[in-house]
Amino acid sequence: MSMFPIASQLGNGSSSDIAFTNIPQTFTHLQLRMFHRSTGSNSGAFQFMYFNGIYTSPYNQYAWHRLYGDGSSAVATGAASTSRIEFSYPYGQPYSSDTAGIFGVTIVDILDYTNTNKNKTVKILNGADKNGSGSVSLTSGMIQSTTAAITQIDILDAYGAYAIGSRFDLYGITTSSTTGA
Amino acid sequence: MPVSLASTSASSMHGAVVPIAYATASGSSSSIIFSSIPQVYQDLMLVCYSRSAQAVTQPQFYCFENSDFTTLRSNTILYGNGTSAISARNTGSTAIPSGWTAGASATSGIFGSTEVYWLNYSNTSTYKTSLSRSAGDLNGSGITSLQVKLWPSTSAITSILISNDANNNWSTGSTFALYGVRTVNQ
Repeated sequence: MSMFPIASQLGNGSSSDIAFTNIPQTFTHLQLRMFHRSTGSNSGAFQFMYFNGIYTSPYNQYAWHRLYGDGSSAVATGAASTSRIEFSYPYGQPYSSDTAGIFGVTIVDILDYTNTNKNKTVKILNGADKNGSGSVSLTSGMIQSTTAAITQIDILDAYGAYAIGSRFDLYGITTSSTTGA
Repeated sequence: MPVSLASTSASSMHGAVVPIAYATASGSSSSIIFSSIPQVYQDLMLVCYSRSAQAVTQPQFYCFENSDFTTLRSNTILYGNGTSAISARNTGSTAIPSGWTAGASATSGIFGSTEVYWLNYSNTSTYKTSLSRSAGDLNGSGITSLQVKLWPSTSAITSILISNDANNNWSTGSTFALYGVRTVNQ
C-alpha cells in the first residue's frame, strides 16, 4: 500500500464548506485527514459529509451509525434515510467558546471509491479533548442512493465556519495489482 | 488463493507515508525515545507492537511529547473489555495514557498493538491533539480502545518518549515505528 497526497485545503474562518472536486479516479482508496475547529457558538459543532454534490431532495440518500464516548458514557446512535453523513457529534469539534488552540482530529477512509457497482461505506475516526469535555468516536457512513464513483467530497461545518488553522488533506491509496498490498 | 510475488519489484513512486525511525526493545529499557524528529511532514504516525515486563496482563501505554513531564494533559477514552463499552476521562495529570499494551502476566507471545496519530505536529500556534487506537486480546479477556489526548502546548513535537505503567521495561520483541505523513508540496 502506498499513499499519495492529492490536495489540501485550509479553513479561512468564513467558509463552512470544504469541497474536494474532480477527485482523480486513479487510486484504489481515499483517506481524508482533518484538523479542525468551528467558529460557531454551538457546543455540538458537529459536521456533515456528502458525496458528488448529492445533498438534494428528497434528502434521504445517506445512512450512518456511530459509537462514541463523551468521557462518561459510551453511546451507540445512528440514522437511516437521512440527508448527509453526520460525524464528530457530540463534542468532537471544538467551537468558539473552547480554549484557543484546541482543534479536533478526524481521519476518514473511503475504500474502493471508483467502483461503480458498490454503495460506498466510509469509516470515520474522530476525537477532540478539551480538558474536561470532548468526545471520541467511530462513525460508519453510507450513500445508499447510488453506486457511482466518488468524484467529489464535501465537508460541512453544521454551525459555523472552519476556523483559521483548520486543514484538510486528501490522499489517494494505491494497491499492487499483483499482491493487493 | 496463492499469490506469487515473483514478478513484483519495489515501486519507484514516493508515497506520502515515510518511515522516519524504527526501534526494537532489548528487554532492558523502559523507554523508547524518538528524538530530533524532522519538521518536514504534515502528520506523525506511531505504530507499536509491544509488551511490558510489568507483572499484570494489560498495563497502560504512554507517549510523552517532547519528553514533557510537567504539562498537565487530558484525554477522552472509549474502550471495550469484551463485556461492556465504557467511556472515561482523565484531566490534570502529567501522565495520560494513549492505550493499553500487553504485560508480563499475559500469555507468552501476546503483544499489544497501538497506533497514535499526531496531526499538524510541527505547527507552533495550535495545541497538539493525538488520536490513538489500541488492541489487545488475551484469549478470554482484553481491551480495545479509541482515545483522544490533548497536550496543551503549542510547541512543535520534536521528540516522543514511549513508556508504560511504572516505567517497566519493554519486553524483547517489542517494536516501535515512527512515520511521517507528507501532504501536497512536502
